[in-house]
Amino acid sequence: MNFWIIAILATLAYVVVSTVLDRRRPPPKTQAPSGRATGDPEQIARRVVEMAAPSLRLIPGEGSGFSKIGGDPDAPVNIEWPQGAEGPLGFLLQIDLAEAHRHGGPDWLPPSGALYAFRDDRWGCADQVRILHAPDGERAPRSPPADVPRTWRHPQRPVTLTPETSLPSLLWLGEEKVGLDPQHPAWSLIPDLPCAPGPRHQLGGYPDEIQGEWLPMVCEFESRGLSYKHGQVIPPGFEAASDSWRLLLQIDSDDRLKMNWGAGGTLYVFVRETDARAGDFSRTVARPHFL
Amino acid sequence: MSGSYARGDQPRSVVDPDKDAYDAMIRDHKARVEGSPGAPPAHPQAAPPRTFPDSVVADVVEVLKAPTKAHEDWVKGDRVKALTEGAVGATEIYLLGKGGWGLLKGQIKLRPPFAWRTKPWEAPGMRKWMTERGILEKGQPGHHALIPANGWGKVVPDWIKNQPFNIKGMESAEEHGLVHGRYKGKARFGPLERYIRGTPNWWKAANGILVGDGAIATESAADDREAGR
Repeated sequence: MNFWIIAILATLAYVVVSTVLDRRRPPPKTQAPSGRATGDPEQIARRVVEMAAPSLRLIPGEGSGFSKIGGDPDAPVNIEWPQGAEGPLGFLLQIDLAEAHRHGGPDWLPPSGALYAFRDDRWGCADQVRILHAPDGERAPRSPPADVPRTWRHPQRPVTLTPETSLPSLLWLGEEKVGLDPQHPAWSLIPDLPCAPGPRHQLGGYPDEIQGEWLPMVCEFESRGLSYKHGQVIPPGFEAASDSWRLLLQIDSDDRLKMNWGAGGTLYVFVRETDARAGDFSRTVARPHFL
Repeated sequence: MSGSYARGDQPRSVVDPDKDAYDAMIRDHKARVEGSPGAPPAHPQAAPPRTFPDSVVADVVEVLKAPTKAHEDWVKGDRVKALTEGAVGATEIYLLGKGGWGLLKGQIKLRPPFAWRTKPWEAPGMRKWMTERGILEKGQPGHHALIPANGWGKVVPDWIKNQPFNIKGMESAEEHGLVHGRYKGKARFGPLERYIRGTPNWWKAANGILVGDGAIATESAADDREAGR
């Protein structure tokens, strides 16, 4: 019986203490510093339209094609299978960049060659996803090394690159304000853009943030070997530097591809625009959002 | 055979001073059994079912009586039972207060959209709504604690699984990641830590009540056995 008493008292004590601690927690500090924040729906709507960016929705389908999610890569024979910190990585997807450009993809991507994405299971590590850029040339199907875990292998689906106009969330505008009036007439300035249903795999554009995290700032911190936590004070210079991060890939959870990132979450990969223009994808930052 | 059964319908040989009271009791009993109009039910099991508000009020009254009961047990000298009942009662009162306060503060979203996220210029989805209510801080990760967003939780509609009762605000993205799996090279939380960090306080309190009620029931059964009941 003593056990039960201790268990109940411990539970009760935990609840009381956590409630008291919750109350004593200081109010959140300013997340986005922001001389840019206005809170004015008209200005916000105008900036959303100004900042609209082209993106390509990757819609898995049937048939064949170079651009695909899952399966095995078709890679130049002289490229070695990428290794992560704990062994060989699993293949995620490959994109034909010429095809991406033809469909109106981001202009900061190299005009030719192919992008390959590989990953491991080190969630939260900036280099969890490795991006390779290979010039056009002879390619051949490559099988993964035997020690790539089976759960890192996904069914192969060719993807259709469907152009969409991507709009930024308020985080990208540096807006702090919550509680904007959804009935405000200014929102009619923002076009009602078509949006295909289904999992949101995407190349370029703005991310669909699940957790409201300020992703460019996360990338800035992670690229400097620092960890970002919501509400923390932003060191000088970080905000301006974070402006250069672009969403390279957004890979959603997708049952048909046997991809599940943290109970239906999404995996984002960012690159600095200057690096992407130079064809350098060695310093990308991956970040998952779980549900 | 002896006593009154042995007499059958024969009159008593001596004057019975309790006869009137006895006859009244028998009449009352017969009226109950035969269902005379206006008569109270014959047996508690035959009582009409309590209506929803009545039963809620009765439960609330029961919860509020817990400290008194605990005190009575303490005075009787049954310290263990008193402590158990006191702890369970306090937890129940906390939970009741928390739930009531939550309702008063409007911590249940009654109007759509119930989707986790919506566009900034649309009516707020659940995440944004919770930030506006102060349930989640801006940018704070929210974890679907009891009903997952994916897997079996897919069959649960958004208006249930995205409500604040199912969302645990996490300390950081790392803590959220460690509830789901390995994160930044650290091993996934064990079951106990996942329970502590990944479930809302009301759930932990409810579990405490279950454990406590079980303990009280076990102890009461043991007492009954000892008393030969």
